[in-house]
Amino acid sequence: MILADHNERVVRRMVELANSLPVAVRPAVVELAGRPGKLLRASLVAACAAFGPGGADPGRTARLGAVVELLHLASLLHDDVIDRADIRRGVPSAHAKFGAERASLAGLACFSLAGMEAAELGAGISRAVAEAAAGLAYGEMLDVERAFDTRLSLDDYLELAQRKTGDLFQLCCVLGAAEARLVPDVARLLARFGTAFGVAFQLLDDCLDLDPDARSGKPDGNDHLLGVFGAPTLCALHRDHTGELAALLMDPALRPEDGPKVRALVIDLGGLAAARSLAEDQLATCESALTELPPGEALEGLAAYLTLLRETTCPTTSPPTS
Amino acid sequence: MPDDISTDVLIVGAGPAGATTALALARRGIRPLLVGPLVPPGESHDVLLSGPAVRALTLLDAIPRLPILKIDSAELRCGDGRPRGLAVTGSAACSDGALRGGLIRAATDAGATHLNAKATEIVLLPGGTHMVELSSGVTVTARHIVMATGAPSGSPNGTAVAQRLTGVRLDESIVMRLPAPATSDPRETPVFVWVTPSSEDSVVTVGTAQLGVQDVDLMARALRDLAATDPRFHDAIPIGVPHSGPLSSTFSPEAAVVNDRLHIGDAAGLANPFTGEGIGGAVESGLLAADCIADFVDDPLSAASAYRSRLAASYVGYFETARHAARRYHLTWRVLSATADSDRPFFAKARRTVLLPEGISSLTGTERMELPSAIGAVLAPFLAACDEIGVATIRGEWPFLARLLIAADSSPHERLRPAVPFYAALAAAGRPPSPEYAALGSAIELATLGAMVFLGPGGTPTESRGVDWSSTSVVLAGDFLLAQATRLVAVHAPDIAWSFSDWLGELAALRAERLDPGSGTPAEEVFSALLEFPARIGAQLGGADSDVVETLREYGRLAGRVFLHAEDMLSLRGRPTRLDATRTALAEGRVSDIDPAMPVAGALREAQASCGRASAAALAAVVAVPDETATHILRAFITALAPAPVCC
Repeated sequence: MILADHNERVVRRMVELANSLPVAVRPAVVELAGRPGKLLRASLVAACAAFGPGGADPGRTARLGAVVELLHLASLLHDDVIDRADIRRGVPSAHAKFGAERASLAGLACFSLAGMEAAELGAGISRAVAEAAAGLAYGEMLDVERAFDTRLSLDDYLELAQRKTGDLFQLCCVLGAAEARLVPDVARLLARFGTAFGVAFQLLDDCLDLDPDARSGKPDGNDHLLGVFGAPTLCALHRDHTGELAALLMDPALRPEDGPKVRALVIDLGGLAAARSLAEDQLATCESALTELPPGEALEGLAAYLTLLRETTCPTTSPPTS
Repeated sequence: MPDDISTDVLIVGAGPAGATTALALARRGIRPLLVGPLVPPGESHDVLLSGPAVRALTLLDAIPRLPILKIDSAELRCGDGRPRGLAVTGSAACSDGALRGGLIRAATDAGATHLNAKATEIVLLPGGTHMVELSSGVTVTARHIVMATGAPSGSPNGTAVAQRLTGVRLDESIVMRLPAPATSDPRETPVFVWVTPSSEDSVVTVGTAQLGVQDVDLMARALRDLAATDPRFHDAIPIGVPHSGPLSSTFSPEAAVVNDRLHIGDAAGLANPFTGEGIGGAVESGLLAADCIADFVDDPLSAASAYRSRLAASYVGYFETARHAARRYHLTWRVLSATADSDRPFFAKARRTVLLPEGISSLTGTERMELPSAIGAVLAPFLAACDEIGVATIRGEWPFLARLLIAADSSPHERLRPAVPFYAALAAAGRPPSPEYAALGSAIELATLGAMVFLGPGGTPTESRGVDWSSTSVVLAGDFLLAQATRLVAVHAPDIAWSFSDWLGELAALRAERLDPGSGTPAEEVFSALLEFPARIGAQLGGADSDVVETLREYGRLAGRVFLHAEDMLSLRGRPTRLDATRTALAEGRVSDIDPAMPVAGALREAQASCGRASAAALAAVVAVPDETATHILRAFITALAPAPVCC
């Protein structure tokens, strides 16, 4: 499959770049680059580049994929410092293995690699990558500063999801479109698709946190302990007229063992259903972008991402149709 | 019509802001009318005058009329951290009543007229003249109106209270407290407590302020907290009743001019939202208003627009986050509390910048470069442009960091900053640097600040639930600054985007190597790389020959070494360093190369020798640079960077 070829090239390039790093920051980056996960972001670059009439240069497309994945790795390394996460992609995180300071520097090294690779691919690429990185960094701050805010508005939540997650997915689509030299109208549709897809991804990812069977390798309920309340919890808090859920979440003595109780309360209050419906709104935006895009194989390829996202994040229930 | 007065400038409100404006206008030959009731003599409390405010009032020759008490140090305690002594050179305490009275007398002696009355109605007439009715029945027409009427009582966003106490001794030192947040709720707002001595023996004033509350008994809480945590306050007895007033930190440049009237001080919402301190803003905005009016006496609209833009440039950092304001204050408060015991340079700077009344004037050290005025005249606009771009880049999203970038009260071209060697290197080939490179200069400075965030010892991890604010704020601030810097480069100097990213990677790797005890990488490598880049890139962009580029690279590396050895020297002498670090902090952070076990005298000798060697080599390297302006700046930079050695 072409996509598999692309992903393989992306990983090869990432590992090659990671190995070029000075030894002091190399191990943490090489380790993550070699366990690339699903490469959702890199493959989205290729899916968007496929809209070009003559296809795109596979080598350059793979390097663009490496750029977005490296940017993603940089943010993972730093998120693990912020969340004090011990596990990443099923193995001990860089933060756990090397400590906060070295993990932070490894993240910075990754960011620098992404910047150099982007610069080699062209000034427009550098600029798009830097804009997305700035959005990501701001989203990181919005996410932390709202810790323990049981009254965070959904608008504020959506803003942070857009910066923290949406901007990077948008970048994937913008880079793919640029590589395929698509006309501005099509590029704009793809950018709109990317942002909404990213926000939907974040919302559904939050929903997964409430499903203990769906998450392996992530400590149960860690976000609740950190005071970082995902979309279902926030939606539930908005409906929590007795204040029971807020009181539970703000209890300084909240422990990992309280996870099931929090989960049950969030679901009872309708938080999970409400968050899924918010995600559906975003997916509807994606779908409306799809209807305006030129039909063909590329369109089918992109539509498959929506199916994939629904399948991987709603394993047991079918999504609401509203 | 004897009851009607016509004047160029009418100032409404005769508090510190209004009286300062009147005095400054009178010194510039404009005789304003100052209208406002006198505060009845009697009970008063003391207020704190920041270093910049004292300097400004000294220039206006007002200080001799004020019974001030000089203050040289502050004891700051954030959260549950240990108390820290900080130098607050040039500050003073003064009784509020004496300050108001003294400033009004100084203004009237200088040529202003004061009327003990209130303005009851102000009307803007067609044609731009203002007509003002006074409580005394007099009608005034004025071309300019300055509003110094204090915090609007209708829409304050907090409360400030002051109370005198007796039975407390503080020797020319102020006490400042920022208690830790009591809950996890990000909507909780900070409470700040300060105590200043007075010219009366054993009498002090306690002040406290909080945003977001209107009627909580702040003073009782502040006194309880002081008595519980500080033995000096065990026997404190309150004198009189607390003076309570609205606190207004709602400043926006757009709202500083309303109906063509210039609002100053508290009337413009200029109180520091963390500390409630308002005198600094009162004096500074009063001076700005006076300058703008004097520059455009015949053109009130131009005066107003100049005032608005100069205020916007001066008041960076506290006021810009309308939507997220409460949470962003809270974030900053969390960070200050959690890092109270950290000596990491970034946190030390943040403490000073956000909380000290002097603001950031002492951030980059007191050393100034000495440059011929002709060179200063070309360098200053470039560096001011760097400041402007840097501030504009980050103020909207993270205003407190923007305060770290600038020093509002000093000349931008005299400070020691990476954009200085960058400018000189741009000029090295003999062509005057294009102003377009200011964006790159700003990116270099943002990145240097970002790199500084990643320097120093990591925080001690917290075990409880919740956020580890110390490590978290390092990552957040570092990522934010470096991302913004990279964005500036990508937009304004795409040709060097690769080199810029390469530089960031090099800094990360050198710092990581330095953390490894076995690597043998000296700390000075990190600092060499920090200043090598601006010198190298500047020379390349300025079109210098390859041997001159090489010379400037070497100069940059040496300048980085001088900087680090200067840190060693200053910390060993117990002096404030540019990174606000101590010897212990430098050693623990693996920032210094000096063996922490070495006795001070020997360590100091070694640091001085290293510093001397590096600066001599840097000065020698400069000889190979052809352009005279460039060599002047490069030399002045090194000379100011290297502290004078102490003689045995």
